Amino acid sequence: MNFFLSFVILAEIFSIAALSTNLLMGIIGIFSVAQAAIMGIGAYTVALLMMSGVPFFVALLAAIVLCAAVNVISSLPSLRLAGDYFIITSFGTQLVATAVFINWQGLTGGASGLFDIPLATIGGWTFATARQFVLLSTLCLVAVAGSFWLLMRSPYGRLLHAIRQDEIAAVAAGRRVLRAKVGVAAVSGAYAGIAGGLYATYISFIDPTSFDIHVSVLVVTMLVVGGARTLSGSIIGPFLLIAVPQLLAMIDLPSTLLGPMRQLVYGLILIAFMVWRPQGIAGRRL
Amino acid sequence: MLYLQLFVDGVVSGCAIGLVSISFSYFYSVTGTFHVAHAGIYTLCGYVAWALVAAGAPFIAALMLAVLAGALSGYATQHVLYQRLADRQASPLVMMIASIGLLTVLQNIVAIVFSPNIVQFDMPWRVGHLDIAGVTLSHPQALIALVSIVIFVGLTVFSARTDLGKRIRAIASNAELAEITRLDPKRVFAYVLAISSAIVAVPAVLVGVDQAMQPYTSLIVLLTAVVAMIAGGIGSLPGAFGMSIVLAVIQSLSVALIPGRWSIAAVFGIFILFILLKPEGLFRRRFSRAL
Amino acid sequence: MTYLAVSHVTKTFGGLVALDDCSFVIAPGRISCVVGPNGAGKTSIFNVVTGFIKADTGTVVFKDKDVTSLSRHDRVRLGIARTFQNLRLFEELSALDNVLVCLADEAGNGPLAAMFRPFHTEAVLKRKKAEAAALLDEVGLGHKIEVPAASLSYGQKKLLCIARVLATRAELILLDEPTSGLAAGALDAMVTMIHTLKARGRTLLVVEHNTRIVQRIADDVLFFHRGRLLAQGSPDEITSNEELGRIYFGRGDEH
Repeated sequence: MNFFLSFVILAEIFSIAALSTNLLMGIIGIFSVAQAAIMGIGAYTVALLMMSGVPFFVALLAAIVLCAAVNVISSLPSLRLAGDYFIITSFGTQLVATAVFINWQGLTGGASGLFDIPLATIGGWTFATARQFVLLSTLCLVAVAGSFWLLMRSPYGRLLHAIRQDEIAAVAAGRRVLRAKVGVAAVSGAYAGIAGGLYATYISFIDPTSFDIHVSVLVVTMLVVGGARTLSGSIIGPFLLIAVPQLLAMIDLPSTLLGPMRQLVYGLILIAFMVWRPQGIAGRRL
Repeated sequence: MLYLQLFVDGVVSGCAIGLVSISFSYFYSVTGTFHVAHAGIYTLCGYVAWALVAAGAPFIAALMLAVLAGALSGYATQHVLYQRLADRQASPLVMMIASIGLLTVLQNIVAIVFSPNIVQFDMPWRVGHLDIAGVTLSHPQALIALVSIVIFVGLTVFSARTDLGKRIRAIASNAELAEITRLDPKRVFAYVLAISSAIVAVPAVLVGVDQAMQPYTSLIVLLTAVVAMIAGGIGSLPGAFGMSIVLAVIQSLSVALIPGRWSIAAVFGIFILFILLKPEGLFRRRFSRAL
Repeated sequence: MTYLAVSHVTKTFGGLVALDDCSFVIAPGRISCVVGPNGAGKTSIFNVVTGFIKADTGTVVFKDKDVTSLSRHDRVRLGIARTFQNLRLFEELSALDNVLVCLADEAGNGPLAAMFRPFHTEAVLKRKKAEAAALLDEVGLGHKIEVPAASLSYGQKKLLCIARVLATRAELILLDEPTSGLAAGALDAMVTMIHTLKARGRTLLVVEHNTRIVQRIADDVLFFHRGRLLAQGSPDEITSNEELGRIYFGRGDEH
């Protein structure tokens, strides 16, 4: 039972991360392989604040604000410039963030990471066991998914779709395109911050590899498999892909090959979907 | 003297990055595909040579076979993956994601088939060195500098002077012109990626000989090379090669000021400066490929 | 009051002169047609007035306000809006959403209200949908509200462009070749539409190739050639000018 619950919790956390990526890649059309980095910033923020005695809720709020800001700043060059520049900006953000996680040892604990991150507690409720934590992660996913649904339904959501399809036409209609993009980057960053905060308090241990480029690619894979642009796609994808390691565990592999084997499967899935089903299981064509 | 040594080290590693940069740039400017998997082919070629040497093959044969492996995997990548996506009217975003998928596959095949750990070539001559005017140059470093310049000049001459090179550039500048060149773009694209991948095998092997190899580090090399390509002006091979050297020298000299582990941040910082100040690059006026 | 005054505008691309010291004034409530052979600078003058290109020299004044350095979206807010020759519809969006996105009303266009004031946003959405639907009715697309723009006929797409530009509530409307490519029936509908816009008090600047259409809609004609404004006058004055006729027809242009 615990095994199943922890699967659900992880899938829910990654659903939030996938929704974050969906806003950028699916909705507004900004390429991103840095969402794990933003999630990592959220995780480290929550961990460090809680370890110095700040309550979970306040720490999570701080992470949300910080991640929103960082996501806006890191995507700012892409917001202003067209072209393939934002591919570099995105890879660069991810690689630089990983370098910071590894090298700023005084703060992040370096390669060995942070241990014994306190449990999440809100108003006397402690989310210690998987059974308790699943309530928290479900609540957060419902809140994030709900806000995503509301966003997409609102005039703002329709504007975002319009900007993706023809930015110049949106400008010609008098829309402030840059402001709209900054807004969506901030919301996307906030989602990633929530995902990171949940991850840190659930696993209670974080290190640079928890948020490296492979994790970002995994989140992109989840999005693509589930299908971009839709709410359901961002939830289907993570639930399917979090199951892959569990399935691989059934094959008898030497432990050193487990990681590469898992990555290999993700890579093959990514290629297969791009070639045969770019709209994913329940999404729209990218 | 320390600075001179750092400078020379920077020039040498800049030559290696320069080959990655011009080979990426050549394919990118012809096809418009942002071929992230170039880093995967780089990794693959380095390990092929390493495994051959470990199995007792002479180094020169191992290098040649790695180049061949690069050419074949490049040809196959365009022919099997990118062309199929292009036939299905895939958006650049889809091409890009597929390329990331291929990068992941190649890196992990290397990790599974060869080794996920850091490996070094088992060859005595790799530690030998030359001393010129107080500057130390290892044998692999000397080889990198020499071979890189030869290949750079070779590709530039091929692209600018030969009939085939000119016709390939015609396809790059205008798809409709392709009709006049009497070349089939599909086959040309595959040949271009084969050439690019053969070239990228060389720095992959030689840098591997000089230092060491690990399956997952090539993305940083590629990122540096792409930043150099942008700073030098997309489509300009001398720009890409020259900026690679400039970047690597800055990186190398910066070790005197900031710890080396931050060098990726330095490269990225330079990139941000460029896109803010001079987004069209140093040697070219126009860049309009949009994703 | 000066309604629209373009003064001494020059624009070069590389070595090519697109606009060469162009000056003209447009009076409110009139339909002015911009004519001239291909490459005369018609679209360039549109781009300068709407801010899509920056002139090298010269100024644009709208309702006594210098808008030369104003951003594109700020000009729309002031009341200058345009359509595009290549339409630029949001193809995947419904006709209704195409118009809704262009409504001048900024309410509901931010993320915070959408997430934290859902009931308020829902009311805004309802209001905007009604407003957009009314505009679609006006241009005769009331029956196509839910249809994606991509599935409309070419004539319907052009009418949708008019609905979008109406949604901005702009009073100066620049139409880039509104009748090109239309069959006879759709063409008449578009001409009627243009007259209706004028009757509603809009000022129109129209790029138009077809001289018969120019005769039907224009109060004034601006004749451009090689980046210069050669003449401005009534349609009759322009068409009776033999010099201009030679330039326009003598070059084997399509009409």
